[in-house]
Amino acid sequence: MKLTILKSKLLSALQDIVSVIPSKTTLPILSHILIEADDSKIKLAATDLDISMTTTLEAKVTKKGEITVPAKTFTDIIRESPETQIEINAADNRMELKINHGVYKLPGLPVDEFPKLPTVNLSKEIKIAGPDLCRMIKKTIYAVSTDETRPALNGILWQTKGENIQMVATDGHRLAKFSQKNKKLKGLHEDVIVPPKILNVLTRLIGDQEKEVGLIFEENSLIFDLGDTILSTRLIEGPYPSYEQVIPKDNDKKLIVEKELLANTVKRVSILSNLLTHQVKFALKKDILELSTANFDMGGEAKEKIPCDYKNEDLDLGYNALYILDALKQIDGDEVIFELSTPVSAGMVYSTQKKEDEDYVCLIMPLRLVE
Amino acid sequence: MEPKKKRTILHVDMDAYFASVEQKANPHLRGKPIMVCGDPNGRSVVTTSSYEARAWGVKTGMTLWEAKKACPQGILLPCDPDKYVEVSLNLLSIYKEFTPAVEVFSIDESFLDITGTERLFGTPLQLAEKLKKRIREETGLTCSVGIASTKLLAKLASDMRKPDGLFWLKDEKVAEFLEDLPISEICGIGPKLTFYLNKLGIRTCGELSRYPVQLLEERFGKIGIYLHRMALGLDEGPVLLTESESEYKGDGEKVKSVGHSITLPKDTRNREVAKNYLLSLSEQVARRLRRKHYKGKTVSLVIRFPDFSHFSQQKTIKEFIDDAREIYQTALSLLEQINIETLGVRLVGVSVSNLIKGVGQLSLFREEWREQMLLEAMDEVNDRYGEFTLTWGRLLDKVKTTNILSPAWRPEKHVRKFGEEYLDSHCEPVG
Repeated sequence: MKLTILKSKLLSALQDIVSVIPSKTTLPILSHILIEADDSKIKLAATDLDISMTTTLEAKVTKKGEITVPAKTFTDIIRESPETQIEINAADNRMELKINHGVYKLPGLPVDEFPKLPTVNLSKEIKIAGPDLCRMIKKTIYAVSTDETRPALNGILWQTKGENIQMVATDGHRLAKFSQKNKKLKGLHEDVIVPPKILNVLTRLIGDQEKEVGLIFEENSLIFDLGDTILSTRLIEGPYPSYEQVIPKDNDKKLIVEKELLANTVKRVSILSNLLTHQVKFALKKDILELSTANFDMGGEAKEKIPCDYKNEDLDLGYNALYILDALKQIDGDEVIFELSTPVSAGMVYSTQKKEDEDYVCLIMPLRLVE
Repeated sequence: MEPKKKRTILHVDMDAYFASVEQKANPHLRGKPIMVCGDPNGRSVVTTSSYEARAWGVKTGMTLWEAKKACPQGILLPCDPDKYVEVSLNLLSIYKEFTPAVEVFSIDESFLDITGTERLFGTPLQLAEKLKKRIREETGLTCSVGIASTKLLAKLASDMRKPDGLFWLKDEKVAEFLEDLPISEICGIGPKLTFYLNKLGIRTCGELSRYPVQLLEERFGKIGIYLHRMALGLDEGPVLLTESESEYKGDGEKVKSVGHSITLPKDTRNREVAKNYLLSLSEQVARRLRRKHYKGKTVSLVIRFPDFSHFSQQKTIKEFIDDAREIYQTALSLLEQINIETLGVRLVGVSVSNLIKGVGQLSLFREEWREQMLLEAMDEVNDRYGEFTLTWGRLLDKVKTTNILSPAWRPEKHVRKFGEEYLDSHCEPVG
């Protein structure tokens, strides 16, 4: 293998791809990236066996070939290089880099040890607007559970509901549900559960770009086609718990409050909350929301009153401040509505300004208040 | 039964503990004969006296009247358990700087298994010196340390150079050491046994070791065999990990962890058997967590192998749990790393730490509500009708065939008496 490529071009591809490399692994090959040189292109690939990424970029290839090199070391060398054409030579599992007057040599592992990458079946591909996809992911991913004892909750549920595409995530204590109307995913008939790791990579790669993303649903995996870059992920086995049952339908109390004001106050008050539970008490009286907390370990207390719109009977609730802040961060608009019932049942939170083709709602389960 | 690997055990005995703590706390008491008792104005006895008072002939267990007679200028002080517990916990954390295998034997005595720490701390003597120095620097107290290959011998050794002593009883000196030692000196041989043994003409360990073991067995049953072994300085008793620190702090105080361990009736290489014990321990830990309204997020597994080496690892999960199945699942993922089939298992221990009290994040899902209610109902039945009246299917077989969980066993009770109870108590809390 012999090629030359501009430093900045190679580095930006490497910086994307190292995000797939597992930080700890028992299989040494997984800490390597695979480089294939073919005609005027090189392909970089990395995988942690759950997710994989390949990206193709142009280069001046004078001799075809392939090699694996330790991803971190290789990236470090390229990052520290001056902006110049880098000459890469590889043979017999060794890579030689010529950077201006410098020579760097790296050992690799046999190419055939590198795991097989998924094949892309373009005939099954369906297209979706990148910004739409990112928006749905961002509004739900925060609620994904990291509790390994319940694997089904370790991903976002994607489903087609009639003419709508819907994403749901929950960790058993809070839930986020986002539906986009008339944005059906044609190839998606069954529910799938997509792990968050790949979605974080995906949203970062898409950024603010207004481009389409191809989706290919395979039996146990999902492939994202971004043109030069292909991402794939294993899907999580279901079934997903029947979340619809937990969405309350008869919450009879309604609190409307200014979003920024609430978020800032919760943030401030919760500084003195218990570091493990982050418990903040919401005491609702007519048009007054009193937020309070106490940390008995350090002996701190906080209490603040904020105006709100609340006409029902007085109600005391305990919430994990982080759950409130996570939800408020994702809800659009200036005002939020809390639909509440009792101190031990789920509260529904959403924006007062609903978009026509969207439906976004967050559920938060209270903490049991102990006096 | 004999451990294959030679062990090194330290017995640390604090010198005149309560009295020293009082003297440390109040400089005016230093150098003076003080006597700690239950109630200076009541009819109590001396629990500890300072060495200054001992010089006057004051002994533990004397009535106050006797003590005052022996040492008229002696200062009587009421017992202050909180103070002693505080210092004990401090001592425990010092011991744990040297080895994780610490058994708190009483408020002022602990066993440390320091086998295999040579590379870290040097020879046992060097380690003991460092330990004594640390204790002196940290608490201002002195202690006497005995080093030997068993708990029994280490305890005898610590008595040799009191106060502020250090004595290493090497294996080759054991026989000579025990030859003329009165049997009553041995931990576990109380006044009654001494009386019966004296009647057989046995006064020293040497005599006891030469007495035909069959006759001892005829006279005392199973204990006879133990007596014979004790007279030879043999004691396979492992250093049991400390029961959870909650036991020292008493209820209402902040608890660090809740745990249980069990020495199996016999070593096993069968993974399924180990898993059964793990589940039953998880259930006990979960029940104790629930009883005290705690939830924890770090699960630790301790496995001791037949050669007394041990494995200990912990895993922190995202949720706070008090459910046996979740504790079991987490501990099981740690157990997977161990090759039980070749290594064998002698002791299994599970504990949960990183605790929070009371505050419960409610769950969205109904099944979990139901599970919570099921567990509460189960606890209620078991509270009324006894442990394991209601249990997981997996445990049914085991509970029937082996009576490893004595019905009399209570986590609060740390059985240390010699005799049947000791032999039956396979279950010990861990910290």
